Amino acid sequence: MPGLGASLGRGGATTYVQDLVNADAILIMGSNMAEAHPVAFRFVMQARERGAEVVHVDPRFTRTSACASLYVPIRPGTDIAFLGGLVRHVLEQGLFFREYVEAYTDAGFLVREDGEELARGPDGQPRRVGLDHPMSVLSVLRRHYERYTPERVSEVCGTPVELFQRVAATLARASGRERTTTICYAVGWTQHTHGVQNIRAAAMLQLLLGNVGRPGGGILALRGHANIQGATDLASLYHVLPGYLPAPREAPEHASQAAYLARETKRAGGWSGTPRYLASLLTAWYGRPDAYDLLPKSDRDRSFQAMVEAMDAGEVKGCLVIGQNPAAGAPNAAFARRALRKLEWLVIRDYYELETAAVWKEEAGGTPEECATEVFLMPAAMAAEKAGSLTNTMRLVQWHEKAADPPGDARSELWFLHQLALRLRDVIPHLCWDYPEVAHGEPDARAVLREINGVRVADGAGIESPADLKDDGSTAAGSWIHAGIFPSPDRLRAAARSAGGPEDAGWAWSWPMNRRMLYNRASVDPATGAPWSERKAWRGAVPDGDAAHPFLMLEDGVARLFAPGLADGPLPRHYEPVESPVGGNLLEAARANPRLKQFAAHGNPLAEPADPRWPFVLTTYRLTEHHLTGVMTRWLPWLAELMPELFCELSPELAEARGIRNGDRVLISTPRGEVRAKALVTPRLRPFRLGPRTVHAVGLPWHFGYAGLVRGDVVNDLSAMVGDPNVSIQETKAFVCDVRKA
Amino acid sequence: MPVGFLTDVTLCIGCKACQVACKQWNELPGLPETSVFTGQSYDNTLRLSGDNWRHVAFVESFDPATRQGKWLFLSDVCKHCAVAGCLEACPTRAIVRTGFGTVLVRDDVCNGCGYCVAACPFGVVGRSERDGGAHKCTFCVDRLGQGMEPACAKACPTDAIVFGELGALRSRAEARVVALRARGEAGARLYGDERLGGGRLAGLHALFVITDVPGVFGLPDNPARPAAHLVKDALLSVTVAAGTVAALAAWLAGWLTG
Repeated sequence: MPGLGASLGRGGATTYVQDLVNADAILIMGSNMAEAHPVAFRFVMQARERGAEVVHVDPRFTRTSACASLYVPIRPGTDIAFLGGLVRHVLEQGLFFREYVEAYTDAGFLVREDGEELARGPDGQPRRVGLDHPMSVLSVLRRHYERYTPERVSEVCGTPVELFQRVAATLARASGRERTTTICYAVGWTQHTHGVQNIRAAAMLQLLLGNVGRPGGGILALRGHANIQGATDLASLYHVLPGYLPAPREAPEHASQAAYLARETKRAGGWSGTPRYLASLLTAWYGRPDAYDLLPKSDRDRSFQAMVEAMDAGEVKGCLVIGQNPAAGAPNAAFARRALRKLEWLVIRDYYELETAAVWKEEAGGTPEECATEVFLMPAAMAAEKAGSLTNTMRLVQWHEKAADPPGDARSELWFLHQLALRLRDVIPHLCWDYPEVAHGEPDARAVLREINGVRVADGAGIESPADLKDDGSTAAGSWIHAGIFPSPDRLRAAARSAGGPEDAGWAWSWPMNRRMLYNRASVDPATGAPWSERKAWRGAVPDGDAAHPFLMLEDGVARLFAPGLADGPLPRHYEPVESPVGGNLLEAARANPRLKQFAAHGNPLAEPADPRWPFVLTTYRLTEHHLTGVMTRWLPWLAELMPELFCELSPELAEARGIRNGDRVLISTPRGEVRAKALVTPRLRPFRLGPRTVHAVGLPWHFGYAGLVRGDVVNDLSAMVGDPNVSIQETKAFVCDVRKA
Repeated sequence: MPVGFLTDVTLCIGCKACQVACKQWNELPGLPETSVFTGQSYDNTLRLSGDNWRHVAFVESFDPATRQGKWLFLSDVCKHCAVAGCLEACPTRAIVRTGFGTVLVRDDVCNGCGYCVAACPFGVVGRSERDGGAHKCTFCVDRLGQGMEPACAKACPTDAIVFGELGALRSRAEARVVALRARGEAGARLYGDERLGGGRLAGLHALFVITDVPGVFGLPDNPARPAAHLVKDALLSVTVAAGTVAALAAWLAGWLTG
């Protein structure tokens, strides 16, 4: 989550879902929250009942739009144009929250001549020149978005000017001392070749409006999967160690522990503790604080799509798939299946014989005889069949006990990894691995959490906070951000079950330090030390930051409107998706993101800009009835019957142009492949008018595959292997297609 | 204590959690092998039946040109009528009224004759292929007996379905209608009070707050029990019979005298 991290300091939602009821307006964009997060959406509905404006900006009129007070259509992939237009509106009309912006952001800092970095003194401090200086961050920002006028926004996004202006007016009205706005987003913003910058743009808007760290404000990153936040926190991502320490690379700046620390330790702020966090991690893993040389170093891009490419090239021999279904979920999934079939061995841990486990079968696209891969399907225990924790979308770690034994040979992930590690002692000889077992070779999940929390090596006493961690090997901690979650055997705080509201922080535990609302020090007027207003007084239990450092993880202690360090620039720019029916760019010099990643030069053809063979925009999405590729839903009769077949949503106008009637079988094709679906012709989709021309959009849910109780073509056979330059995430929310009657 | 449901379309997000919770608690079958894409918005189960005791209707109500309009969701359920057509029609007394005021089909008594299916003014009751018997919402009578609310109300994430004492729900629904009208929902109305259907049902135990005429949501404007016609129909029969006899007598008299 570098979009939030670069702007605010931490890669997590800034607030909790219950806080939505305090909002005066809620902007949901890049998210179909009612369908993908129906339980959290309860609080949006409560806010609406209390009078909040709920604005949904989305290419399709969804169940979320149906519950919103204002629905605003937008062409897929043009969110930065829209948000940039809002930033311009706020700056041009003087609607930004001046005192907040002056005190808590970098708006008054001087930008270096080249526009790439802040100007800094010899002590590393930024130069404070005030908001009105011609090279202040605010002035640079103002010039940067000068072109993003409502008319231009409308021509790029296909949003009528008056609707765009209504959104701008609504957000401005619901921000300031007395009022706050929350922004909710999900993968509708992240899955783009400019995904990180979508979120950066939202963070800028919220900072200018003074909406971060205040009740009813903030940015809610809605995660797509139970515990995806937890997996990210504990390094399931390719480029981080636990607690978001950068993963070591084979590079001169990471050649030794000293070099790594020189590079990654910041002058001030939370990351000035990097030596202590790293030493404690190494002590937990290898028993000594200087074991950096034992950590594997990444030789090149090892992101998901790059690994699929390497499998295809024969560089990767085996693959362990846990809780994922790449045969249906990977971009250009047919390519991914071909790559999986080149492996020597493939181990899948899951509940059913999902598409990835059936990748050797004919329906996967080849013949069993051609597939040399030895496939092992290991039955997995479900959540209630094991003890452990789930970290939800608001960084909340919730402990659960085991309710029942798993059936047959099904085992927990912890059991599997524990048993694997015991058998790999010779391969990883220095690894500390001494978890006590509770039964049947199952390691004690509490012992694992206790290691994550951290202990004093000398006496085994629990760590209470990251401040207790040392760089001399006297403390061992598996994840510095989790320090304090389990400080003593009788205080498993993730299992806390106080009946009070979320503000008292008594239900479960959220990182860091059980803070529910991050950056809450920004809820205070620096001139008086009192809340900006009585109505928006923060009354939570755990403060975050201090008067000078409300954004304490960042070096300068204040939030960043201007964020150097990202691959595609310090300020977000509108770029067209890689594949777009629009050939040019009305707002920027480059058409698409010049730094985007492309994978699989062979077997991943891309459409040229405005290629007449693929005239429509395709966007993929989820339904309430199914989850991801359907492994937890298409095998469950009660859910499978609700959405039994793949369908394709299109507008009556496009249907008429292509001679398609509701319920007809249609073929949707892209340069990578073709899928069959039934047509759902609906006025909920509408053509986008971009000045004189019209662009049509087509929607496809991506839940189906060739296994399960209900089946359908793999929609990801259509998507492309391209990625954001910062995090390599794929672009599945906006690409191009053709649709015709089958 | 008479209990009821209050289902509010203005709070429903169309998630179908009620449908699934109902099937799970009541061990009703999911039927993926026969279920098909219907093209009726997001609705693939289409109606209440012996195997579907909650059903969320999806109504796409948009002006085709301006695209102004709404996507409406209504979670439909057995109405548990205070005077119930199904109960009156049942020849085996399999259908009874419970101490909660709700209507229950007793599986072990039902002989599957199907009279109740025809007698329900709402199309709620259905015969299931599982056992040939008639089935419908039990109001989770087994849960009520344990002091728990019905599964659908428990599962609803937005409190669009609320369970409670009928009188209190009625007051709540009336207040809700007033509040909705005050904020511009001119079509807001309560469906299911004792005036419905000319009073022939004496009110429903499943109340609905809706925002348009009932027909938009697939609810009958003027539901009627077949039994309500009994007296009228009987009188009509007597009248017709008397008339026929009189006419016949007149003809006979004419023939005899002619």
